[in-house]
Amino acid sequence: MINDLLSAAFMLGGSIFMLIASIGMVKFPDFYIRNSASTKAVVLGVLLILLGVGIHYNDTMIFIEIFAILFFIFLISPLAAHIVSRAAVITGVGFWEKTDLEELEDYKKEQDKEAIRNTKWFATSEQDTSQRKC
Amino acid sequence: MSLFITAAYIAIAIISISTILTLVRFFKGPSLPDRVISLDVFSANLLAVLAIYSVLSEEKAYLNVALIMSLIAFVGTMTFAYYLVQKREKSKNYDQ
Repeated sequence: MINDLLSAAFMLGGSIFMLIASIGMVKFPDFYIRNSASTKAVVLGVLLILLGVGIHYNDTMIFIEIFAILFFIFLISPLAAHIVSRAAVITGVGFWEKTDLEELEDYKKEQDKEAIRNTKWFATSEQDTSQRKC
Repeated sequence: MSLFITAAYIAIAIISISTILTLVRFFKGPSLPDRVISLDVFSANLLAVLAIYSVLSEEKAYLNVALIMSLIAFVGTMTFAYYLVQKREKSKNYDQ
């Protein structure tokens, strides 16, 4: 009885978190804000639903399987969000007008300076020989 | 129908609503990364429905399906991000 109640509460809570995530997907103004909202809420929702399933089965093998799924999701979800938003910055997806972009501008300026510093404007003979030795 | 099964059906209904909202973003999304993210959330919704359905049908094999689903969704997202970056770099080279 307590098992059933606990499992039902976990499942309902998890599904409500998934609903919050997709409402955020529709309502938020900007790609980066949507990405941040959906990633965190979806991870919490899947965690709660899988815990509810595990409590219902009450079996060791099922818990091991569920921890495997949770391990992959906790490993994968922040990585995927980071990589997709990096690709979005590189391809030039627009920001929200109220976003504070000062740090990004500073970072881009630093990167430009580094690129200019690392460019070989003319190939000297010393550099050529050192490259051959390597 | 016991309380637990009713709760599972309600959870499936709520997740279906959230899937529809995710598809709204998928069709509306102004850029490609929006669509990639909404596909990611869509696959997470599918994973949750699989987990709850495995409880309803008393079939433990659906949890294995959920495990494979999460891995395949990750590979899809990574592929799209890689494609975006590569496309950008290629168009840069053509400009020069």
